[in-house]
Amino acid sequence: MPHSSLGQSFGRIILGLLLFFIIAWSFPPVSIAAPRDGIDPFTDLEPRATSPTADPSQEPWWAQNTQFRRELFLQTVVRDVSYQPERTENTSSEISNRHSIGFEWLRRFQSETSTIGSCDLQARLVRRDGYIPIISDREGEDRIPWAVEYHNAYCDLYNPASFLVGAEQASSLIGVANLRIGRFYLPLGLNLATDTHGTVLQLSNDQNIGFERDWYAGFWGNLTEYASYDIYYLVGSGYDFRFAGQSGLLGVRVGTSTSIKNRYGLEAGVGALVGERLASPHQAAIFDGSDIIRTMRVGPDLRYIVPTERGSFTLTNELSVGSDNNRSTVMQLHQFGYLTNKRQLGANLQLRQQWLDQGTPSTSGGHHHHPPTDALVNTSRSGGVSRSIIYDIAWYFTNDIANANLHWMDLSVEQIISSPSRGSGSIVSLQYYRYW
Amino acid sequence: MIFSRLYSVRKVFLVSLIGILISLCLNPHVASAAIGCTLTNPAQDLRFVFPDMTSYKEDVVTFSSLANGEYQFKELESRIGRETDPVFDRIDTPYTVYSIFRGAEKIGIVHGVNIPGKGGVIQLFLSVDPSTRGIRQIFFQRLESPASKLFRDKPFRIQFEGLSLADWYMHDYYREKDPSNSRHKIAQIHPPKDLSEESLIDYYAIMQGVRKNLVILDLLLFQRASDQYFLRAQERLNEPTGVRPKEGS
Repeated sequence: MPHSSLGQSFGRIILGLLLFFIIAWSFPPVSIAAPRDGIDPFTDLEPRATSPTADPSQEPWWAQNTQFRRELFLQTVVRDVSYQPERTENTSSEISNRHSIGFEWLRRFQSETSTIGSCDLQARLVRRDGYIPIISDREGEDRIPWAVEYHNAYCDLYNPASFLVGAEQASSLIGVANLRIGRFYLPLGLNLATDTHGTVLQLSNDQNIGFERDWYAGFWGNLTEYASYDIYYLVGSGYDFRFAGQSGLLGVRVGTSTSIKNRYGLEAGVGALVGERLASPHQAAIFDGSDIIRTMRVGPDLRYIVPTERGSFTLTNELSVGSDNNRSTVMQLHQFGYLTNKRQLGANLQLRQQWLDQGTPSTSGGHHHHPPTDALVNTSRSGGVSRSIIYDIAWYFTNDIANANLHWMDLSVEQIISSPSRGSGSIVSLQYYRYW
Repeated sequence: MIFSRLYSVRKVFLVSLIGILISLCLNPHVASAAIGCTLTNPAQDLRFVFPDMTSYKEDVVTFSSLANGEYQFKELESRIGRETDPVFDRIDTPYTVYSIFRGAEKIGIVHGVNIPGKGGVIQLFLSVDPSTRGIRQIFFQRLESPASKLFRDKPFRIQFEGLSLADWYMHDYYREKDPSNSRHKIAQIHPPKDLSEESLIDYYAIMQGVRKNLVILDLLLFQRASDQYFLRAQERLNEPTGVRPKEGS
């Protein structure tokens, strides 16, 4: 018996020890005693549940979703032109200054679940001393010395169908049909596809049509993943919103979408303008005093950016054919540009040429309010061809890819090879621009 | 008389111009300004990512508009693990946040950042799940890199799906202390197979951009919901034997 009880006690001790070790091993080591590097320090953390809410509470209602940018522009132009048929009291300068301060206000409007629309207003207070008819300021002759100028002045209404049939029913039209009303770029050439804040050299519409912006209403959006469109009724009055007997213009452009641009660096399209427009001051003389110009233009455009390790190269082309008061015209612009990878230094070479048929001045197309001038006589001497080479070099202090913040200086030279309205010679322009 | 007046006006403008130019040359920093990152065609791009969306909304948010904006902006620097870019990330940089809806339900958030790459600026957008804060999709708007196609291809982009900011914060710790941990998800991301050595710069820029994008969303939108992971990682790394995380994560 004593042997068996001793054996039982011994067995209990062994069993107890065994259980103790089993229980001890089944628990993880005590953290205080264990080296901390051996433990995953994040096991006790759980993702916190949150609802995403931007906190705009510090902004007053009028500042929410609003961007306000300031603009400073200084330009000095010097010319050495041997023959200047357009010379008047205002345009007789050999040196001119154009300086301005301005702003751009962009506001988006929201509902609980969507951005309904946006508005953009860009205006400047401009001081001109002297005037030289450079391509970027063809409308400035009548605005000496002080003027308040507006540039962009338009509103977009996104997916207006959603107001008629409800957001869910109209969701397939998101991005497809947006309404635009106001003053913006013409749907011809690359103007609409270009944010000209960042463009140093002008595109061709100023020369081709007489203005690059007009008052209009119409639709824009995506046709497919790869194509977009713009279709507008344009007043055809350029800077001023006014009807003076013109019927206005229908403008259409079909082009590549931004996804093509982002992926391949390519922008291309075909645009057309048909209807009647008012002649800008420098055009009235050319068109035998006509105030109204019956207009037709159609043509392709292309811009191709090739990024390399040494910078990006850009090829720009605009071509349009058509007529003004039954006089045929062809406008072409070809530009080759370079920009360093740091986007600090850029250079461009541009060739532009416009041919306007000199034939018999039309009497059927427009209303004649101005007497013929010497300019018309002189026009025939140069055979109706305006041809220029422009080259420039630009230094960028800030060159935002989205053109939201820009700061640059530019020196450009336009060599007018021939021009019925501007003679021939050189125009040198020094510009300073800041947009922030 | 008129000419002399005109001449004096010109002189004033000329002197002003020269003054501005000299001041710029002496202090080039005065020219810098904040730059945001927006979709050029949001309707199309968002439809591509969310085919079933019924509407979307854009909100512009800046650190300066927040109640404690300056403090939050300083926190941005420590959380991205490097100095903020003086051009692309400033206290007044307008960050555009896209909220995507199906009916009244918010089904996604899209946000983009600019990052300097070898061939120019890279515009990197993330589509994020609003409840889990995990990445649904990464896509590029502007990507000027010789390896652009490799980065845009799905095999590279798919590696980021499901990752969240917590993974990046934990990466700071795992990289130094426990590289083989199965939760070390960032270590499982690899550059595209055929990427040249010179394009690795763009790969690292993209990795930094993803982290920066998530941090900005966390600070501006998610009330720092992932911050506990950052604080824990730093706490453990800063213990006596710890090492601070390297830049470039």
